Amino acid sequence: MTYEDKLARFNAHIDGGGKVEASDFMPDDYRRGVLKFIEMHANSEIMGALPERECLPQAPTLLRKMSLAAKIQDEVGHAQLLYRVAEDLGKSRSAMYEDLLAGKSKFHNVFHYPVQHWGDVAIIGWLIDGAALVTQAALLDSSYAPYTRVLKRICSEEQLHLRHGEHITLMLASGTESQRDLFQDALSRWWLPIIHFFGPRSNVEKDLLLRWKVKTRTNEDLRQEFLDRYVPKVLELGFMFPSPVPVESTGHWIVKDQDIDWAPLEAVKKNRGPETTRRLAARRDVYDRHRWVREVLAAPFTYAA
Amino acid sequence: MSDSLAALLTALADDELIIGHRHSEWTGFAPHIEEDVAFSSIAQDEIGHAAAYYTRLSQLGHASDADRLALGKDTVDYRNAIICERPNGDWSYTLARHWLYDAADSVRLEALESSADHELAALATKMRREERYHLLHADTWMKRVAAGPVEGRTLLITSLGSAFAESAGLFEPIVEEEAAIEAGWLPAPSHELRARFLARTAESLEDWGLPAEVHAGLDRSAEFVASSSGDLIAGRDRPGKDSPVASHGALGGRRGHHSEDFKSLWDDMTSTYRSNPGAAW
Repeated sequence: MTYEDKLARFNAHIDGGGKVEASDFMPDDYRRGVLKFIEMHANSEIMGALPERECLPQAPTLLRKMSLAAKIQDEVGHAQLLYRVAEDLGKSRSAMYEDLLAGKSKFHNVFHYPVQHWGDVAIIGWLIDGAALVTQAALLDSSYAPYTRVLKRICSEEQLHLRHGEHITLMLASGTESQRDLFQDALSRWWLPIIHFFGPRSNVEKDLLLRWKVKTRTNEDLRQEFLDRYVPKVLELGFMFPSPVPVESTGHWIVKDQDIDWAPLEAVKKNRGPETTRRLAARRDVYDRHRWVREVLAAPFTYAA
Repeated sequence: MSDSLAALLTALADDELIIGHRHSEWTGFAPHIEEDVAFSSIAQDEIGHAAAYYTRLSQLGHASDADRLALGKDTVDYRNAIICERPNGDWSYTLARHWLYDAADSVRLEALESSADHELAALATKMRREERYHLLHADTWMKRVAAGPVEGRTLLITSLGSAFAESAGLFEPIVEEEAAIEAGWLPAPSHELRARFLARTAESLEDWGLPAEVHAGLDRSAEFVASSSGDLIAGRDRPGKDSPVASHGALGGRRGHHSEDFKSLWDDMTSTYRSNPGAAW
């Protein structure tokens, strides 16, 4: 069978709702695209641990200290699972990790931004995890089957994170004036990055990941689902949106394209966000100082006493 | 209500909180992904143990709730050993301290299982089940690094030197120790617990082929010497090269004397709590 024949069969398989396993034939562009996509997801989990980690020492109660640590731990666990799925597509975890540290690969825009206080933990746990859950739930039906299997576990853990974030939010919202200010301040800083999180409008003609159903829905569709679900809740708690302010129209909460300033996202995509350099350097520092740990783990060792 | 029981519980709780706080600083940041997940569980356990001790303390009428006992007090009211508050340094120091701390804690918990305070005795039994895994984790790493490539082994030996010296602080007598022993809250005096700890750790070091000097250095460095002010202070400090240990004694923590390292830890740890006194979070 020629490559063209295989490709035609692959396309027909996908069009018919078929799934792809790691050992199946797949076009090079599919393999590259899926690898890059899952690698970015894995990178985002490991880099996503950092903003919350920066708030962890200041957790206001023992219970919050434990639960936030457990949540960050889940995220590191997600990275581990996702790197394994990505590895099967032909790139080693160490190569992915080194590319991340060298700034050669990407991670989600929201993890390029600074955190300042406990209000940020509420925003990350509720709205950012809420946004992530909308996008991840849409991927549960992805054509790349090994990805969907780990996403099932990730999504169920993310549901818990969301409740944790929602609870922190409700405590701030029903708290003192200064606790409410923490949430409002964080919302004002994070709103634009959250809108960016879904990306600009998808180019359905050119997006191969949509063509091959690795992604099943467009960026604007996912953003709309998020806005409709969360904007009323935020308003109900009495908080105010900064620009781009969502407006209600025909049963939907709309953010107009022309109101979105995309410049900050463009900078982040080039790994030039406000915290990109510092966070990557901090990770690189730990990595460089602990080459010996990797050598210990690579050395032969028997566990017998 | 007994002051000596409260003093004992405070020392136990503060040790667990502060070591748990330091351990949790590795969460999301450990030098290896699988280890990040494992070590975070240990951090969470220690903070959970602290919460259990503080809750017991609050039952004795010492304060309204565990969070206030953990986060709503001044630096001089913390009774943790100084070794718990030291910065994490690199993984070799973290590992050395983790191993020593959990070895000390297991000796302590074994004794506390026969405490005259039945609540405390029951907590000790429950915690020992978890601490077993902590020690297993630490032992496994220690063995691997000891038997592994030279760079890691050398770093570990250096870190063990400084951590071992400061482990004496974990067995510094608590205030009102005599009364606590008399009442049976603390079933064995601290110096006796320390002797058991030293015997066990010496045996492990020998088994793993780690140099005995690490251990021998301890006795000179951590004698309980009376200073001119009448305080017990460490006879001598021997911080290793590149270790996070500043030139400060290992002792004093049990009386609320802490290192400079503690001040910044406390500022950070209690900042949100202090920002809204009495608020719910």
